[in-house]
Amino acid sequence: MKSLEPQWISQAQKGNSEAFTRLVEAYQTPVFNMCYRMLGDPYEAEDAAQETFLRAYNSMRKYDQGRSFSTWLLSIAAHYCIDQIRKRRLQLFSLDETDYLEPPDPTPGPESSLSLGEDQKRVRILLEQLAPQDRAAVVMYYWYDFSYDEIAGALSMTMSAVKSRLHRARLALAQEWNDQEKRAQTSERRHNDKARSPAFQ
Amino acid sequence: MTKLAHQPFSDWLLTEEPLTSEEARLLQEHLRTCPECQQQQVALTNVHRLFKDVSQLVPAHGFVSRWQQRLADQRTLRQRKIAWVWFAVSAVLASLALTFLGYQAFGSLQSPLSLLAVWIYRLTVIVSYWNSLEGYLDVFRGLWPGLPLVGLVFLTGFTSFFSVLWLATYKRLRATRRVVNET
Repeated sequence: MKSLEPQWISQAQKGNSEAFTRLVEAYQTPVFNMCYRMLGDPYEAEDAAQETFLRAYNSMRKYDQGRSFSTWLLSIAAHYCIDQIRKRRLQLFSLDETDYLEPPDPTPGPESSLSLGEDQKRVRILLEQLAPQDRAAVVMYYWYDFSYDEIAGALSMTMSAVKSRLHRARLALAQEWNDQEKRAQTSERRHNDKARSPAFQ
Repeated sequence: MTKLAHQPFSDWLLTEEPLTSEEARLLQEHLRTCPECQQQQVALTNVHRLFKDVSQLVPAHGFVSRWQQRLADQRTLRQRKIAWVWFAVSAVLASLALTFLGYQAFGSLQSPLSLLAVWIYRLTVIVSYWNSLEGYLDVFRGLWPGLPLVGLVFLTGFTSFFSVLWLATYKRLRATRRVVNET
């Protein structure tokens, strides 16, 4: 399938939507995964992934075939997600003022296919501690094996900035991991104390 | 232990760059005596392991068809936008043309006296033609004998009857005919 990719790309650059659909089929999982790691919500991740492909389709003519297509695509996804996180922070003020909640949608959503295990939740909580650009750098580095140079190109920053962001992110992740461990130990101790109390015997 | 004392070791733990053998030896020595740095190393190792072990998430079934629908919606929206732009441009151009026309008309109304003079002149020309036409009619009237009043009434009646007859015939001819197949 990879051998057909350059053909699909050149056809998509000529405006062939069928060829671009093949690229959507091939890259839906990495793009969705990137968006989920960045946003931490399956609905938002689905929307962001769809938007990423639309933006990529609209700017296919600008794509340089000398560059890796996946790097280019994930760079679009990362930039879109960074913008969404910033917007979400701005909206938090207005949402706090509203005193109603929208009823839950009964139709099966994107999370139905996800098995959100404990590890996935833990990853989400860890990544939530990071600034949007640091998060993007971490996701690209750990899940997509991007080099510092590729991350710098995708996030429009210098290589030293990437190194410093990853350094800062690792420190924050280690601290959060330790905090999680401490919280888990405290709650376990409380649970044990409760079990041992005379009221439960 | 002060934060400054941890500094190079904490940085070495956090970096992915390879350490020299001397740096690695110093780090191992420090880790043996510093519980804080030990804890950080364990936490980092666990985070790395968790990131490596956690599976890649897949979107819900039908992602591609949802994308195709979204692309179609975007195209429709774009076409509608283009149509609105054309409508707005043509409305602006029409308004401009109307304004220009109004300005021109207003310009011609600025001197009503000259316009009035032209109209008066034309009216006098029509009146003079009418007078000359009456002269010709007098010649014809002299040639034909004059009709009495009853004759004039009959003549008007005949003219009206034939006019109505002509209109009815014309309407009948214009009406669509039914085609009847005769075997």
